[in-house]
Amino acid sequence: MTDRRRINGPSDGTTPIVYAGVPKAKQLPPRAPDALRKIFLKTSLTPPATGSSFLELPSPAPAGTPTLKLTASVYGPRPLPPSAPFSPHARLTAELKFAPFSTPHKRRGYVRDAVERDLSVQLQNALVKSIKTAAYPKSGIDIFITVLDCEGGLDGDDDDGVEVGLMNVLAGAITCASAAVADAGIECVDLVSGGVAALVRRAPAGGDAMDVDLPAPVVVLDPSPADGGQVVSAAVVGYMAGRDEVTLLWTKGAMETADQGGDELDLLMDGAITTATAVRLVLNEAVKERLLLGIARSRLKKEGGGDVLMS
Amino acid sequence: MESPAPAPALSFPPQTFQKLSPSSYLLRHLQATPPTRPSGRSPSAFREPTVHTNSLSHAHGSAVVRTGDTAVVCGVRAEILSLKYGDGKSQGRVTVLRSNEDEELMNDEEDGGEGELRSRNLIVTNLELGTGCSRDYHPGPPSDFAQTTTSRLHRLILSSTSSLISPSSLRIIHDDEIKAYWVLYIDVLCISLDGNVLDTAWASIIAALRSTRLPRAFWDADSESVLCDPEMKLGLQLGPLCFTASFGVVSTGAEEDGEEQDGSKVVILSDPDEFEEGVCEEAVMICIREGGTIARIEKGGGLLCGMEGLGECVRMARSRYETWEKAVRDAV
Amino acid sequence: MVSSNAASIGFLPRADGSGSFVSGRTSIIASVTGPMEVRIRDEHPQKAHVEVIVRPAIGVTSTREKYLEARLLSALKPLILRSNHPRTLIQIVVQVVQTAGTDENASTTLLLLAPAMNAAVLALLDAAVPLKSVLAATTVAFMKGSGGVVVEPGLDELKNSASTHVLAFTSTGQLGFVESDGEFEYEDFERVVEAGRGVCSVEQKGHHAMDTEAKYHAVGELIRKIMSQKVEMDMRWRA
Repeated sequence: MTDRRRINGPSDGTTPIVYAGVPKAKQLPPRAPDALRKIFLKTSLTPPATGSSFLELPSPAPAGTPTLKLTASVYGPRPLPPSAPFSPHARLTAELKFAPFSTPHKRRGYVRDAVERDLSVQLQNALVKSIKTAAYPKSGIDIFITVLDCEGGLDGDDDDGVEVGLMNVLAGAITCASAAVADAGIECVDLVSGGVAALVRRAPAGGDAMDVDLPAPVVVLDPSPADGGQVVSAAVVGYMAGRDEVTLLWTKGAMETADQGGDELDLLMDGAITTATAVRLVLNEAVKERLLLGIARSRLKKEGGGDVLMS
Repeated sequence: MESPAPAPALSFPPQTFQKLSPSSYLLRHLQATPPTRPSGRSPSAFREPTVHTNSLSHAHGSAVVRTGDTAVVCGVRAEILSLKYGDGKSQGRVTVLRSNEDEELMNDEEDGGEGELRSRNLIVTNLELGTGCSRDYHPGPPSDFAQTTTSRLHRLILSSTSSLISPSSLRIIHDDEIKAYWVLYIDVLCISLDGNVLDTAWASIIAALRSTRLPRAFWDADSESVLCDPEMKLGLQLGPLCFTASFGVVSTGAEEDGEEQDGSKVVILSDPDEFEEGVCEEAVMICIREGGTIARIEKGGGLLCGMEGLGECVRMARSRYETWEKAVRDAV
Repeated sequence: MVSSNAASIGFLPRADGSGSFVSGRTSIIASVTGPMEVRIRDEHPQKAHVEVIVRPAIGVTSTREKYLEARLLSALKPLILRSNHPRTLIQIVVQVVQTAGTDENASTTLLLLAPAMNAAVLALLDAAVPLKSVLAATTVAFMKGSGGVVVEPGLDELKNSASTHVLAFTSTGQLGFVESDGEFEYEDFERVVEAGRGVCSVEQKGHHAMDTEAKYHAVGELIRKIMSQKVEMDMRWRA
């Protein structure tokens, strides 16, 4: 179907590239299961917005490997349109969108699809508890997230395990959005950081993956879809480290709960919280950096920079 | 005896003045000596660009360009358009000709030239402003402004004589027959918008196209489809580069809709920001091609800028070309 | 080839003003409605809101029409004395009737601009919207090799041209609108503008020049002739 508000490609449609043979996927350098990758997080990169931030994971990335890059911008609190019903709290909306060129294989469309709507709702739920919405009655706070680049692993889950790509995107979006909310100067009870952990079964060196003696899965913090190994189950949390509260939990895959005598769910959640706690340190640094810059600027202004004189 | 204290004059901070009367706010700045814009720039100063390329992992070419507070990301993704049997030449196509003019155009398409790019939609340019880049644009269907700018960028790429992208570099040929085409999807996302998105977006497209590497594609007779070689990557053949420069034009005498006063002079603002774009009704855009010839002039919105002003704009656009060319060359 | 121009005015009884302009194979009808009630979103406390809507000859509107709308608006908006009708809407609808070539052809769009602008100006005049000045537009091609200047070219001439210029001038010869595409030097552009000005401006010595066929393609004169006929018709009751 043609979109008459955009420039359209050939009417017969086009097909993504098919490679002869498998392109050599660059393997990431091996990491210890509890080793976290470095994050780059910076605020105020979209000056027209009330608050904004940019997140990159990992940073620096090994050459030729995919990264997660996303931007967040926050507008508000601003008055709700007169048509909106009265609301004693601020109304928070989050919209997450993948750039058309952000994913491997097929291009993404311009209209928000079910995956993007689902992530938007999860993101909204993860953040809303951290914001003092009662302080802004009759107001709206809008968060926009644009995913510029992601690590892949967005396809559906199959017998081979679950994909953690979307979870990484959501965790990154939570952290990035929380930084942008702080940058906007919106009153919060705490910051929210996102963390992912997965139970991964690594193929034993030299052995067949379908061996009868399967190695026991281990908890991997901050897993990457490019890491290799079979992901049995995974969890992402939105975590407020200051108050020790989980605002969001999303799990995928099979895991044993306490009732069944296993502790896999607890292991996963603890892993994800450990990741989120580490991410929180980065978030703290980014917000602190922003704060110090703001103080320096206001001091400069007091010393008489100011505007040009109006005659 | 104490004299009564003078009544306090009505005063408010500059920000309030700017909101209340944007036009006078800008004019007061320009009437100062030396004339200075609210951003602190002189009227003829452009914002310095920064260009980075190939920072995205799934695009075939990409660029991030920032000028002042305007920042865009451009990604080029290629997909394949397979032709139906016999569609490669003009076989199998029914053509209704109205006159010999159309016939010539049809011939032109077979020779190559822009007709091929255009009639087959091989280049798909889109600008997305609904990313939270400014408070005026919301996610959802593109606004009129986004559509207009998209169209302007698209026309620049397919400009009748520029041949920036030669169709031959998009053909996938087997035994002298065109089996398929590469289709380039060029998406520009505005991350931060503070005026003059056209110049920045256009530079990002040029930088992204220059950084684009496509895998070598070949026709596989067994599967009757196009396959790509994952190891070999080829750049695009690009024609002469061109870069745009946009200007806002305003008269220091004109207040709102009033008549021009004596002693007023016309001021040309290079690379206007969002606030200035809102105040200046008249706009000029000049596109300069490699070698200094002019590829495009657009002017509209008023009568202030005559031939003299246009000449001045062309001169400034030429020096802006050098800036862009250097920034893009250093980045790719 | 100099294509013949034709224009008419006031043929749509339900619109406040209407005008048509035919140049070569391009034919445009424009109508003006207003000043009328404006949507609250577009309301301006001190000025009238001006809106241009372009409807294609075939199919639905696309980004191309949005582009034409923006360009036409930039040419027409500064003509209108908007402060005369604050908090109102002046709507200009441009209907493309026939185009010179297929829509995929870039030149077709360029050839649309000048006739559309002329038709809209005629419609504005017919609707008696207060204007600061009258704009007349034309297309000029700068030929490859010979360096000749062709006014109001056809598609075949555009194919052999080095650059194409859509220019609009006020009746006093001020340059109001430019859209140039191709490859050219500034000196060439100056020559093109002089040629365009000759066609678009109205000679002060009077309208007698209209009698000769050679002058018939002069857009400025044509608009003047159409208007003087209209005024003559309107004032007939006084005779």
